[in-house]
Amino acid sequence: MKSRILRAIAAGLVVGTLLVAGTASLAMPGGRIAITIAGK
Amino acid sequence: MATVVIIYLVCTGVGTAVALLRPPLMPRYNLLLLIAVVPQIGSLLSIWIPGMFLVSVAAFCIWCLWNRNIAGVLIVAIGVMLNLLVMASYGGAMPIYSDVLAGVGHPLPHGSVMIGSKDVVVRSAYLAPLSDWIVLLSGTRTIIASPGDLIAIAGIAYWLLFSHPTKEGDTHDVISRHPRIA
Repeated sequence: MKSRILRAIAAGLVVGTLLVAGTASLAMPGGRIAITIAGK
Repeated sequence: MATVVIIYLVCTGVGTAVALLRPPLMPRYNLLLLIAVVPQIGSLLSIWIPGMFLVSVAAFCIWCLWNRNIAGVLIVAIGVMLNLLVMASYGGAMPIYSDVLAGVGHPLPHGSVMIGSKDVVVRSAYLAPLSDWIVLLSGTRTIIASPGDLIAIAGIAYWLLFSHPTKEGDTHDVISRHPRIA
């Protein structure tokens, strides 16, 4: 059971890491956001 | 950035819960995923170091290649590669139309880089259909995704729901080691 929980946590971390590494969705709270970089 | 952290925590939590109910086949070489994610976190923090995007792409490609036999990984790879393809045209940033932002109440000038995201505001984009334009959530929390994001999320869901460690390999292994079976 303990190993199953650990594997599940590991799988969850893979999910989160894959999302951050692989997706590029813009996610922002309303309000503040941008800086302007010349040449971009 | 706060929204990204919330999304990360929620997705990690949901992934853990699903994996607890139906343990998926675990991918290997996850250190590569960590290597891939570090430059992406850097870009979320508006840290731009030459070559960091390349490191991310290389680590992710190798991770996908080594785990290609796991259900869903190829779908994730397709989605992420679509994102990386368009991001490569913008030095590692994801283009987003100023019109799309104006539509959700955030009018920003062309050339702005979004704090806490990987996006750069553009008037027109190369590979426009692959950029961020799909508004998933609008209001106090705004989420705008690209087609690659949705494909990658579908791949992750497919991996969680349909890849399960089979006992077949173990069974064959045990049978072949049985002393009475040649």
